[in-house]
Amino acid sequence: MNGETTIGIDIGGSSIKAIVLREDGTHGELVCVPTPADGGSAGVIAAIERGARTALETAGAGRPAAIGIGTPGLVDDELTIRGAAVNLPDWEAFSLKAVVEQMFHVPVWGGNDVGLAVLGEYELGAGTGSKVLAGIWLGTGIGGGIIINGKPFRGHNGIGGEIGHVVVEPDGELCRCGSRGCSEVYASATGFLRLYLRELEKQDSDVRVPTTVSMSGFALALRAGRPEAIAAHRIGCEMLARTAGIVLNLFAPDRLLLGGGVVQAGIPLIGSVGERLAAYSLPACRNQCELRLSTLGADAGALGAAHLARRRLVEL
Amino acid sequence: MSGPIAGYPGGSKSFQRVANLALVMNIIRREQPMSRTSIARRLGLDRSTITHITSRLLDEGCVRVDSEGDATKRGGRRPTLLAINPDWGYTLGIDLTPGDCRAVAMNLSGDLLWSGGDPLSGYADNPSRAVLAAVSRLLRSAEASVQAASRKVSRSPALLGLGIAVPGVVEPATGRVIHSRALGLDEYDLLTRVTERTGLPTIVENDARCCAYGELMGDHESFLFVLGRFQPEVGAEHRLLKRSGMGVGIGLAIDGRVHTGAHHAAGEFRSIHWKSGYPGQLGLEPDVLPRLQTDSTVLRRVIAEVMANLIPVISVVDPSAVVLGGEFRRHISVVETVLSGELAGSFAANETATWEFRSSRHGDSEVAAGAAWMFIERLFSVPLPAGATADAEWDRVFQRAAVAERSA
Repeated sequence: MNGETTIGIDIGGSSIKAIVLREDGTHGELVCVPTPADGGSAGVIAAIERGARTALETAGAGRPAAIGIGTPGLVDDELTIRGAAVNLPDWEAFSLKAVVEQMFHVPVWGGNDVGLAVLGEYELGAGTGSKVLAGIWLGTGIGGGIIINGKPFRGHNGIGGEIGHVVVEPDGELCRCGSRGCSEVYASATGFLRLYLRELEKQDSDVRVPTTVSMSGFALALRAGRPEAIAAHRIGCEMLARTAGIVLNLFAPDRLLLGGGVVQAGIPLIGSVGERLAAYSLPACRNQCELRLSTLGADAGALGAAHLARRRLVEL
Repeated sequence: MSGPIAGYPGGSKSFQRVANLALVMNIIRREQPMSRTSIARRLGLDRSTITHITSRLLDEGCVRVDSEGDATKRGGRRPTLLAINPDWGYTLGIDLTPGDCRAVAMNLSGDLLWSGGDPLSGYADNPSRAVLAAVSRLLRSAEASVQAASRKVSRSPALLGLGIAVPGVVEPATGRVIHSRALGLDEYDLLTRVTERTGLPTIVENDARCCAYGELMGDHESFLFVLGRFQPEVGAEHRLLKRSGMGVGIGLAIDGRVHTGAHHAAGEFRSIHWKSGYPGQLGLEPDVLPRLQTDSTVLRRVIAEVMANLIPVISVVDPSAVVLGGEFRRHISVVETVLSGELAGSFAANETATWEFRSSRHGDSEVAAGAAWMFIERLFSVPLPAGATADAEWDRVFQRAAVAERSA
């Protein structure tokens, strides 16, 4: 019997991930399909279908009871993606919920990808048992998610927990949103790499400075003790501590999770961020909060989406 | 509406009894007037359990027969509809602040019965003694005034409990003041001292969170309450009463509930410009602070600094409203000028958000009224098996009402 099996789908700029959550709480293997760079939204939708069907096959599951989808950017209940923060090709404003419901003939729910990744951690990962859980995800940008007494916090306009455009450096560097000094300018994966490249450029050396650098390259340089990498890491962690301080003072969580690409690349964060938190959060908020890394890695978003679908089915 | 009640966890027998009583009071308040049959149906409890509980509530006097409902289609007896008796009792909310303590007496419907003030005299010599003396004086004034006002009715409402608002970090579960720069109190067991003196069920809370309770008053809203209050400059011996700093607190309401955080510390504020060694929460140079009340440019700088720090908070919380209290409410025109002036471009990242700026609904009484309503709100909320707020339990309140009745 697979009446309550759900699929979770996590749509990203480079890949679409799908996972099957079985009725007994176990899950199948994570299936990754590259996000097609051309073919527009129709290509992305075809990739979503392919990912979901492959996930069902590999898990040996039949028809799912519901589907949960996480998408980047600001999304409403119809899964219409709003705002400019989306890295998807030729993505127009339409209801992704309606499209996928028609495709699979089952109810579809969804939300912001980071909010769902934090939900995944709450259900199965580093967030289990937490009363007030906050998560800061460092990827292409910075996203946030907050779960209060087991319930995801969404805010009045559905954009609650958006932490990427919090100003952490007054009159700081220009962000793609138009503001200056946003947290994601410094502490996202993109931010860390940009800071690292800049430090490399500062060096007066005959060695040619690379035009691009990867997260694993940055992690290696950091482990090797390269001063440029250490300097970039220090600035990124400082800005991340400022961001975390706002979340701690405001929501007083008992656990704060860090996740996303920067964590998955093995960049050390807990110690460096933890020691800087004292300057940006009050003892009453900081002393009772445990700082932890995400444990579900790349699975978190898809698992959270599958759990969202399961929760909504129960509420029906 | 049935969500939080349907999933209510069980517990020991005595706990279940306390919880059932709170559940019944809560549902009557929300859906009154209401028949016993509908209460039983809504709560999924036996009709006999409900009859037992409601007859006790009617005996105590906190619930009254409102009217008779319509007869059933088959011509059965018309059901008796029950409602909360708002004048059965009242709570006293006290805003402890140096120079001008305020208090508000409120009945169970949230109607204002009395309000008054106290200068908190003797504060400079002994803050804790001055605070306790002010509580006693305000209590006596409130009781005398409420009694005098209700002489014409057969029974005057009983004082059921105290809500005390403290500017600073408090631990509501124990009622301890961890640190209050404004009151000059550190690690002070305020709740125990007050109950020793008054015998009243008491809750101690942070002032900004009290404001959030008062602003909600039963509404299902999500907002950010921002409270700014001038603070005295406190010397080593608490001798200086010159008001020079600004204390900023945030009360966060999410879907009709005040968010307290996992350990009751939510809503703390510290400016990103704050530097180690600076007094208070702001980045304003310590030598400039004393001019805060006399120099409008300093006040404007403070308001601009707080608002600049608030913008990221607003974008994280995504509230439907930002409610201004204290000095921000008094200087709302400066707040508006700052937001439309130097901070006008700061919302670029949040253009999809819609929220309104408004002043708090209780004006100068916002903290005291919030503290009074907080007690009522906690009384009507269903206790959790662990960490129940024992000071706002119906049993204790009934005992208190009986004592008041005997002394009358």
